[in-house]
Order: sequence, then C-alpha cells, then structure tokens
Amino acid sequence: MLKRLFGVLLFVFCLSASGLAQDLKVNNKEVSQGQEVNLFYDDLDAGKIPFSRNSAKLKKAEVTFDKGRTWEEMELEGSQFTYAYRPPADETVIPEFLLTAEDGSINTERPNIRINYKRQKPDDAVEAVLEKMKDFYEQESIDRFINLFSYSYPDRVKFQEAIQNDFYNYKNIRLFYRIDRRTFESDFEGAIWDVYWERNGDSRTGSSFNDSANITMRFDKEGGVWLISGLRNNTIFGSSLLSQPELAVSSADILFTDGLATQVYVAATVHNTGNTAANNVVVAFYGNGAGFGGPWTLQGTKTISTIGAGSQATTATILFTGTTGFNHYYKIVVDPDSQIPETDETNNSSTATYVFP
Amino acid sequence: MAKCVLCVKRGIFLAFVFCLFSGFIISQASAEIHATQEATGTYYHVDGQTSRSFYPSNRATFLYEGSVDFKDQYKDSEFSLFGNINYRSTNDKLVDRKDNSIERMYFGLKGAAQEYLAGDFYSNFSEYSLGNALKGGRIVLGDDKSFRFTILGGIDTSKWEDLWEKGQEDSNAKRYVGGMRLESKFFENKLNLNFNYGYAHDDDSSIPVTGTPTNVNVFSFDSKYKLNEYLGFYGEIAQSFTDENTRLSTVTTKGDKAGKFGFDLNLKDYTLNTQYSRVGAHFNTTGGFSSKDLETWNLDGMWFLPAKVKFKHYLRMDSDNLEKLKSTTTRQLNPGGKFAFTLPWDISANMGADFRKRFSTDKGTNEKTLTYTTSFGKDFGIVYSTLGYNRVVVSNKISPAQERTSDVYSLGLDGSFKIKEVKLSWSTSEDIERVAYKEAHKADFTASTSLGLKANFPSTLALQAKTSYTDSDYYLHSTDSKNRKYYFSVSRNIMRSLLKDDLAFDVTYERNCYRYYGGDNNYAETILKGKLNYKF
Repeated sequence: MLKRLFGVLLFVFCLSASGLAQDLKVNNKEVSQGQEVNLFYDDLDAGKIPFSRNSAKLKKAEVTFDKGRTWEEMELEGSQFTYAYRPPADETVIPEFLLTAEDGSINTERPNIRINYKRQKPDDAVEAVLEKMKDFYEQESIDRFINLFSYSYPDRVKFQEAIQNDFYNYKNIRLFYRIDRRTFESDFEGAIWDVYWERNGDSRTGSSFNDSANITMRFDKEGGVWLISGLRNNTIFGSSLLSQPELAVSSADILFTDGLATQVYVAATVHNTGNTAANNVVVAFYGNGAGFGGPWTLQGTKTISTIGAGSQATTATILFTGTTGFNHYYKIVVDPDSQIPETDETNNSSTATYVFP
Repeated sequence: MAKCVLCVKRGIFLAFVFCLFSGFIISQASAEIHATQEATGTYYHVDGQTSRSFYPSNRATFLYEGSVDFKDQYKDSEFSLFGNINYRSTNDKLVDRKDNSIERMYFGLKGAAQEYLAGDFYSNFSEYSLGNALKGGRIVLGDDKSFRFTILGGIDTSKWEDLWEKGQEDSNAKRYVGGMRLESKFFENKLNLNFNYGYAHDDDSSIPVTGTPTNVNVFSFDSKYKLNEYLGFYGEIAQSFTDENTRLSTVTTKGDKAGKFGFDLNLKDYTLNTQYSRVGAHFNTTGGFSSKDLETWNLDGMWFLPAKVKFKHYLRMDSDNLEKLKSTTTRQLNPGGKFAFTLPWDISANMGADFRKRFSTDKGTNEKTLTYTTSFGKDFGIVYSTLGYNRVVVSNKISPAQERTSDVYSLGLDGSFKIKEVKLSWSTSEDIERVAYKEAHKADFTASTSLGLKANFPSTLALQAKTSYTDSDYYLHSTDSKNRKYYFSVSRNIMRSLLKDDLAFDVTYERNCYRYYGGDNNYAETILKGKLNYKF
C-alpha cells in the first residue's frame, strides 16, 4: 500500500515538476525539465539572463542561484513572474524557485536546468589566445608568453628555457597564423585546433630567416581561462633549443655493390627524421668475416657533411673482401661516439649479410 | 570510377544535410536554430620590401563564412537531435588554402544516458591514452553518475579532404584513431576507476617518403579518489606498444610505460598539489601531446597568511634519459615563490622570485636563470594604474656570450567614464627594457608605447582607435628596428529585433610600418577590411 502511495506521489510530483518546468523560460526561450542550455554574452541583453515563469495561481515567486543561500523576489509583469540575473563571470547557473500559491502554501521547484554561461564564445576566446601568443612572441615578452601555457604543459621548464633561447637568437620576429581546424569538447572545456604558423625575422647578426609549421594545438580551460596544454609538430616555438636531428639506419639501408672477385663495396643510407639538420655525421663500417661469432672489426669510417631535416643521405663506399660462397656480416653504426644529441640513440646501428658469389 | 566515388561523397554530404534539417522540418515548434552568416571584403597593400611581409603586395579578397547550429527536442522522446555546420568560401589564401570548404560539421542524438555523434568531435580520455580531434563517430552509453562507456573511431585530419573536398598537397598527416573508455564510480562517487584503450595508425600516403609512419596501441587505467573534503588522490598507469616504421618489411614493436600519481590537499589556510610522473622514451599516446623520456616531480602550494597575504610557491624537478639511451642526462630544477599582499592606501602588491637551472651530466648544458618580479596596482576610481619591475639574470657556463641581465620597467593606466550616454574607455602603457650583456659589456634597449581609445554609443555604434610605437636599439646595430602600428575600427548593430535577429557591420583600417637598420628592408602594410554579419 505504502509503495503504491509512494509511486502515485512520485508520479504526481514528476508530472507537476515537468508541468512547471514547461512554463519556465530562460532568455525568452521555453525550457524543459533537466535541460542544459549554453549561453554566451552575445546572446544576452545587457549581460543579463532573463528568467520568467507563468504566474497562474501564484501569489509570489522567488529565485535562487546559490542553492537557497539567498533568494531574489521575481517581479510580476503581466502573466509572468520575471527576474534578470547578471552572471559576474563564466559559471554554471542552476536556478531554483520558491513559489507561494494563492492559498499561502509554499513549494520549492527544482527544474534541474543547467545554464552554462560563458562571457566569450569559445571560438573567440581561443582565437584571443592565438593573438596574444603572436603578440607576446613578437614583443619577446617571455613572462606573458609562457603564462599562456598550462602548468601541465609537457616539459614546461625546458620549453620556457627554449623560448628564452629564441629571444636571444632571433630579433625582429614576425608571426602569421592561419586556423585550419577548430574542434571543441562537447562541454567547451577543451579544444584541439590545427594552426599553420609562419615566422620570419633576423638572426642576432642580421641575416633573415623564414620557417613554417602545421602545429596541432591543444587547449584546456583552467579556472575560466583558456591555456595551451600541448603542441604537436611544433618546430617554431622554442626551435633554437628543442629542435634535434634524429638519425636512423636499418638493414635495408646497407647497400652492397659487387667489386672484383671476393670484393664488395658497402655504403649506407642514413635517415634524419628529426626537425633540424644533422651536420658532420660519422658512419662506422664493421665486418666480422665469414660465419657467426667473429669479433666486429672496424673497416673504416665515412662522414656525411649534412643530412637535412626529414631527409636522407648515402655515404661513400668502403671496400670489403671475403671468401667465395660464404655469408659475410656487416654492421653500420651512425654517430658512433654519440656526438650528435638525438631523441633516440637506439636506432643508430644495423647489420646485414652478403654472400660472395 | 572517379565519378562513382564523387557521387558517394556527395551522397554522404547530402545525407548529412538532410539529417540536419529533417528535424526541424518535422517538428519546427520545438527546434532551436542559430545561424551566423558573415561576408568580409579585404584589401591588402604592402609598400617597400614586400618579400618581408606575409601579405600580398596589392590584392582585394572576399570571404564568406556561415555557421548553423541546430537543436531539436522531440516532445514524446527523451532524445534531442543536434548538429552544426560551418562552411567557408574565399579567394584569400591567407585565410584558407581552398576556395570552398566545410570547416566543421557534426550531428547527433542525445538522450538522458546516451549519445550518438557523427562528424567533428574532440575526445580526451586521459593524459596517457587517447586525446584527439576526429572526423568520425562516437557512442556514449551511461551517465557520469555511476557507469559510462564510450567507443569512438575516426580520422585525425584537419580538413574534410578525400571525403567531400579535394585534398591539398600541404595538408597535415592523417591518422586513423579508435578507442574505448569505461568509467565507473564507487563509494558515493568518491572513487573513479576508468579503463582506456586507444589505437592510432598513420596513413602511409600522407607521410613523406622520408617520414616514419607508426602504429600505436595504448592501454591505461586512471583513477581519482576523494578521501574527504581535505584530501584527494589521483593517478594513471599506461602501457603503449609502438610499431616504429610500418613501411619496413620487418616492423619493430617497442613497448614502454608511463605513470603519474598525485594528491591535492585543501586545508583552510593552505592548499598543496603534488604530482610525480614518469614517461618512457618509447611511450606514445594516440594524440602525441605527452612528454617522453622524462621523470618529473611537481609541487604547487598556496598559503593564505593573516592580513590577506597570499604566498604562492612551487618546486619543479625533472630528469630525462630514463633508460640511458642517450649519451647524456639533462636535469632541471625550478623553485619559485610569490607574495601577494595589500599595502596602505589599497595598493595591491606582488613580489616574487623564480629560479630555473638546466644542467647535463656531460657538462654540455649548464644554464641558470633567476627572475625577480615586483608589481603594484592602485585603483583611483576613474583610472587603474599598474607599475611593474622585472629583473632577469641569465648565466650560462657553456656559452658566456649569452650571459645577460635584463631590467624591464612597465607602467599601465586604464579607465573608463561616461559623457552623457557615451561610454569612453581608454588605456595607455609604457614598457622599457634594458638588456646588459656581461661578456660584451654592451646593452640592448627597447621602448614600447601604446595608446587605445574606445567609444560606445547607445545606438551600439562603437569607435575604436589604437596605436603603438616600438623602438629597438640593439648593441649589434644590424638588427635595429622601429615599428609603428595604427588601428581604427567602426562597428554598429544595424538591426536587432525581438527575435534576436542581428545585423552588424564592422570596418577596420590597419597600418603597420617596419623600419630597419640601413633601410633596405623597410616595409609598410595597409589592411582595409569591411565585414557584414547577420545572425539569428
């Protein structure tokens, strides 16, 4: 019996609640129970969110935006009780109503409506970050520039050092950006934008330079402020410190050219997958004779003067001799003394076999 | 065949448009549509050394942009249909590489505990798993109160290329991404336990021949536990497997781990956030935003002292070369603190110091930077003033030429007042920087002045003018420069009805003049822009 009564009461409550909610208007638009509304400053008149609800059978209506700590009386305008709320900053507004009926009974109405108010439209707010990033970098203002980045930005200390290095090395910097993609999280608390950046300027000694990059930028809203929390493919900001070559060689890159009988010329193609050129790359050539197990013997070294970023280059050849009909093993080691700083030093050597005809 | 593919692409697009608009055709009464249409004409003109400018030397361009947002709540259903499309047409290559393009589009169905979405979206599972902006689909089942399951898949690429639009040569690399996330909450939502899986595969055809396309599989558990109102813990452990170059005949798969752990302490007078993290050299996420080969300790605290004094302090320490794959290990140390307090006559003040040190085991790096910051602010009612002084001392044992001391003085004034119904806002600032080089015994000197004025009339007419002047006098005179910038704009809402229709115009004039040592590289840019915006 009690369960049934409870069920009926619940049904009546839900019905009445939904009925009340249907009477409610937020920013002059009807809203329903549990609805989520996104509002921006541009959508409002004089920065205020107007609330209105039907005054039928009501003597008085009050509204709260702080879970009942303070109540504001709504004004009766025609058949509607109205109140205009001015949000002081970005916030989630959850209104509740205290309704006094004509017979004096008081009800609290919780329509469970969430109004996500943001002063700036997310597109404008994130674009303002890009504009500041451009201005502060051009002005070489390191503190203002670095404050645009989240504390959770990966390796932030090194990034700050790298920006300081840029401002030492480059003068008269000018930046240009073009936005290729704007994607937001559904709650507008995060975003990923693809931005093409181009930079020109002078080195300390006055020679001009120009570079560009398609950078994927991640933004997060922290404490109401949009901050940069990640950069992918960044070869511009902090490039004077962050850019490193990345040398790599695989067995397919070891090239054999037949020489005279029992002779083979060996060369190696070295890849640089990093974002800056590698200079004076030393390549060491080892052999261990026929069959497994022999010690690697250094046959000689060759030096490649420059391998551009994202490019490859092939060494001059080294002559090896062997025994007809046997497998011979060769090892290539790039930058054997680790003179060139790289992200990964484990992909600098490889081996290959060659059978003398 | 090509015609057939084109037909399929157009079919997909038309199906999308049909889905987007069918909702409000069926039930217009509850549909909510917001649209913005904007037409812009721009004229660029560059004098002098035009090759130094990013803008064309003499060109007029047009740009048309439109955006439609749509939401439709079905009266007898828990579902609402929503969608968005942004499109653009232009001949201005500084704005878009293509003449006509779809910038963003998505549509979906949303219910109380489920969501189905197709089109552009951004999903961020966790720091060490999946965080990508995709063109594809996402299904979310459950709510954020107890249990939620998310599954998604799509292409991480900046444009709708090869689907509706023709691809461009300089487009970003494309990456196919998929993943799932299971979220559960326990103990009255005090404990969150989540499992994440992400997969990413680079599209070979979009990677240059010299590049290395990869495959990434990453698994992670992340968790958050709020012990009470004072103390909360969080952490994540992850394992990734990466095929480092899928073009090779024998692909090498490298596995690596990442993890983080931290806690937040919130006392009445003191808050502290700490985090320890360790990310392996071969660890990868699908988004590619996380650090690599780095072990980090971070402590950030705020102490609320008596007399409204706040003391913010932090310590950051990190080290790379965790698996000794490099010949040298670099360590970084960054402690700092700042006091914020109020002086007599309601003057707000900030004083702080920051120390940053980077050094490597092979002694190839040894840099220190010490920064002192002081600033004062005072609200005089009609004017707010700020006065700041920063000193930065850089020492570098490896490159003594870089050793320098920089002193920056800045003064800012801004205010607003009303003359009858016209609101006038103004601002002015002056920054002076002197950088003294220890080895050279010489100094750079830069002075910047800016001035801004804005008038808002009751008719919504707004006039704005800004100007700035920067004079850089370097001790290496070959890079000396003088820049002047002027900006003027007029805007007004022409029509604003009760239905929130809005028609506005905005005309801006911008002139930037750059003068360099010797005069050969001098140039000046003029940009004149007229914009008409309509939204409803």
